[in-house]
Amino acid sequence: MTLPPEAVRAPAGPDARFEVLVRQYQRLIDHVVVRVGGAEAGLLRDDVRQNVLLSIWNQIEHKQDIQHVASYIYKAAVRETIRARRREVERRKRHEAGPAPLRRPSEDPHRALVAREEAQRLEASLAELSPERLQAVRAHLAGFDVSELMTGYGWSYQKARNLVARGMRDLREALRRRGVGG
Amino acid sequence: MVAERDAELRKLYAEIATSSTSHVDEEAWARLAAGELDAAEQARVFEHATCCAECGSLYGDVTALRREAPRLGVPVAAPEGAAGARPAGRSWRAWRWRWLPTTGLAAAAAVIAALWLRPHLGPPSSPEARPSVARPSDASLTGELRSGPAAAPVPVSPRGRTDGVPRFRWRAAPDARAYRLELLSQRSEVVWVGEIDGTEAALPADRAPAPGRYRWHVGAIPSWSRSPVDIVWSPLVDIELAAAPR
Repeated sequence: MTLPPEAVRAPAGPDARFEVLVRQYQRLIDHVVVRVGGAEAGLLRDDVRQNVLLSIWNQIEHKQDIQHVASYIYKAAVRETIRARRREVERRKRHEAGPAPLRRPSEDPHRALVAREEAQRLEASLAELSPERLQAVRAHLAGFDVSELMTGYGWSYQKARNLVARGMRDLREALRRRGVGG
Repeated sequence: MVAERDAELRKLYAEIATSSTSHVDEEAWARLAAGELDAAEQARVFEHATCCAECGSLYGDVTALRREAPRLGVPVAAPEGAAGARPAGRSWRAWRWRWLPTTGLAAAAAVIAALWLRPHLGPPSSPEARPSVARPSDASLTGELRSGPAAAPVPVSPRGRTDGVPRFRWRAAPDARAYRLELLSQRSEVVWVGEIDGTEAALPADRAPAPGRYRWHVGAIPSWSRSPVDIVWSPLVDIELAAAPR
């Protein structure tokens, strides 16, 4: 079968190009939203899609070149997803804002006080560590593994492991001096 | 014992890491996702992520996304090695997309609305008449970006290098009332587009594209659909058109 002449449009106009672009990249945008949008991804998707597309249209409007289309859309999607995620967090905070209870019903006042004091001692103990050991220990306590430290700080495997091990040893010692841990 | 103590310390640390009021800005996150931060910038972002629960959670998500980027068709600089240093600049191919003049932002809004908002209003026919054509959904979002859904037509030929005017063939998709064929340049510009009832099409000889590299795909137009967004596309197929023999 030969294409009917009326079905063949060459070259296509900007609308058709935009249509192709949208089809080609909508799943990329959606994937970014799912990955970076956290628990609210489903709520954010439409907003992010439209904002990314509008930013592309703004580029068209100003006849600006976009280098690396996929990268441009990918980065725009990351930016817009994070903005939307933060807006959603803020909206929830405002929504939930109200007279704060004096204390949570399940909270044991004595335990809460102990936890607060321990947190203060932890902060004071962290402040004693040398800069690199502090970086390693913070990352370790925040739940990052050695490979993430290597990537994040550009350290070798050996350096990352040693800094975590020595930093944690220093931290335990400092905590013991403050009466935390055994 | 040490592991238990570390777990307690982590819980305690989480208490003091939640109180950060400043955060990494969106542009830095986007550049991290694209592998564009230099070593010092990356270290600053990571250091903040270790002290701020909100950014710590984002850091994990964004770096996971960066690892997936090549599979999604996004060229990113390779993740840092053990040394973490990356050469400045971009290592991927530097092709450019030149935008055509447009009719304005109002047209943009209209196209966006037509393409993306319309599916949320529901298809034009009754739900029971709707075939089980795969459509974008949360479940499909984490799948392969460029592989077509189950109901997409399957391109058969041409693939790779082809001589003369190409003849396109594909395997039918269930419940398709017609197909849309698109031939794209390497820059994703539409070179040819047409609607076909069957599973075979040839470009008119007098409109044959110039020799070179192209990509084509074919989309099934569901019987119930009137919107381009409902088309179920096959994966793109690379072809190289050789000069016609004289």
